[in-house]
Amino acid sequence: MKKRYYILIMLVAFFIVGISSYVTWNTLYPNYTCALCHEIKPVCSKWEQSVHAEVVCIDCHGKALESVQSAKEKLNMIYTHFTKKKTFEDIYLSEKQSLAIANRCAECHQAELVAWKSGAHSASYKDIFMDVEHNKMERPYWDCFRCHGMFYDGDIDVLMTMVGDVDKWKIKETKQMNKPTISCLACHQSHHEQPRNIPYEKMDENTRATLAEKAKYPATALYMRADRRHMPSADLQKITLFEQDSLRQIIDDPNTLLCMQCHAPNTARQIGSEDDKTPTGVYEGMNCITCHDPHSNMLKTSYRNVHK
Amino acid sequence: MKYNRRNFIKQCIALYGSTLLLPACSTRGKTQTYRSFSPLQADCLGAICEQIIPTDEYPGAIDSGVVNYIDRQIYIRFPELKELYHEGIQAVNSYCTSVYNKEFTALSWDDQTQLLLTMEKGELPEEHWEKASQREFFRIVRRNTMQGFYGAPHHGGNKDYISYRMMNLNYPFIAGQNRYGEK
Repeated sequence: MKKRYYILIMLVAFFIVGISSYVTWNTLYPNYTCALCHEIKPVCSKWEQSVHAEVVCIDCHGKALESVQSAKEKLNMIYTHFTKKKTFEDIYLSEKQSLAIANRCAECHQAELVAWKSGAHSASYKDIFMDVEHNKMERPYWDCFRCHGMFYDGDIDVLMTMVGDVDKWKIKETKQMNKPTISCLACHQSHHEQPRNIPYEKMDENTRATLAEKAKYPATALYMRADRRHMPSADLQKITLFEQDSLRQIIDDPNTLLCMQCHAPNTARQIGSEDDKTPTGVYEGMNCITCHDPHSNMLKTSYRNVHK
Repeated sequence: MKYNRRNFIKQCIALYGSTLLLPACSTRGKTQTYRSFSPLQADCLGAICEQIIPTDEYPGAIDSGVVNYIDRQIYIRFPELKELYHEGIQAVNSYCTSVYNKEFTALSWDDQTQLLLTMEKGELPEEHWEKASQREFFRIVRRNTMQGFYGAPHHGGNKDYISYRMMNLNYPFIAGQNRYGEK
C-alpha cells in the first residue's frame, strides 16, 4: 500500500515538476535557457544584435511539445548535446527546416510573402528543373543548386531522373515538385547582426550620426550552399565587369552584389552575358532595388533599355 | 537514510532546485574551448602556428582560426594525430622550460622563430623528443596550418574568408548559366 502511495506521489510530482519546468523554460529569457548551450552561443550573440532580438527563440524555432516532429527534434538536440562534442560549425539547416523557418517569417512579414509569391523568386522545383526548353540548352547539374534549391539535401541525381528524351525527364519525388527553390533564407540570415529598428526620434545623437554608416549593412546575406552558411551582403566582394574591352562601373551596393551572385555574367565577366542584368547606358551605376521590388522582382517604375 | 515521505519530498525539492544551477554551465565570457586540446596546449599550438603564418597587414594563423581547424580535424577525421600533437607540444614546452625557464608562449618572437628553425632541422636535444619526432611534428603542424589558413572555411579555419580576401580570390564564385546550346 505504502509503495503504491509513493509511486502515485512520484508520478504526480513528476507531472507537476515537468509541466512547471517546461513552462518556466519557455518563459525565461533565452540567455538563461537555450543560450546556455555552447553549441549555439555564437548564434545567440548574433541574434542579440539583430533586429529580431525581441523575437525569442520559441517564436521561430517552436516549442518542444508543439508537435511530434518538434519533440523529436528537441530531444535529439539534448541527446547530441550530452553525447557528442558538437560546435556551432557542425549545425546546418536541412531543407525541411529552412522551409519551416520561412513559414515562421511569413507570420509577420505578410507583405513580403505576397510579393515573393507573385514573382519569379517563388519558382518551384517543377518550374526550374522541368523546364524542357531550358533543359535542351543545358542539362541540370549540381551547380544549379547554387541559386535554385540551395538548401536541397541531395544532389541532382537524387532530385531527378534524366534518362531518354528531355521531355521524359522527371523529378523523382512528387512532394518535391511544388516546394519553393528560393526561400527567405536564401537571401536573409535571421540571426544576422544589423542595426536595430529604433525609431529615429528615440535615437541619441551618436546613433543618428552613425545611421548613414550603418545603412550600408543591409539585412541581407547570401546562403552559400558549398559552405552551408551565410555571407552578409556587406562582405561580398565587389566585382569588375567588362563591355568588350572597356571596364564598366559597378555600384558598391551590397544588395546589388547579392543579386549579382545569381544574376551573373559569364566567366569573362561580360556585361549582358548569361544571366547578367547590370544596368548600362544612362542607367550605369544604378542599384537593382531602385527599380525592382526585391521580393517580387517586379518593376517599381517604368524603365526601358536599362539592361543590355 | 531512512526512506520516508519527508526524505522523499526533500530529495524531490533538492533535485528540482539543482536545475537552478544550470546557468553555471554558461560559457558566456569564457575563452574558446577545444575538443582535442586543453587551453594551455591550444595557446602553445597557436603560438607555433602564428610563427608559420604571422600577422602582418592581414590576420595571421591565430586570428584566422587555424587552431580551431586543427582541433576540428583531429576530433572528426584524424584522431590518430592527437597523440603526436600532444607529445609534440609537451616536448616543445619541456625544452623551453629546461633552457629558458618558461613556456614557449612566453618566449620572445625571435626566440620562438629560432627554436622552430632548429626543430625543422631536427636539431633540438633528443632527450625531449623520445616519444615524438620533432621533424615529423613540425611537418604536420606546418601542413595543417597551411590547410587551415588557405582551405575552405567550413572545415573550421580561414575565418571570414581571410586568406581568400588576401589573395583577392573570386569567392563566392560568380558565373551565370552555361547555356551551351544558345547562340
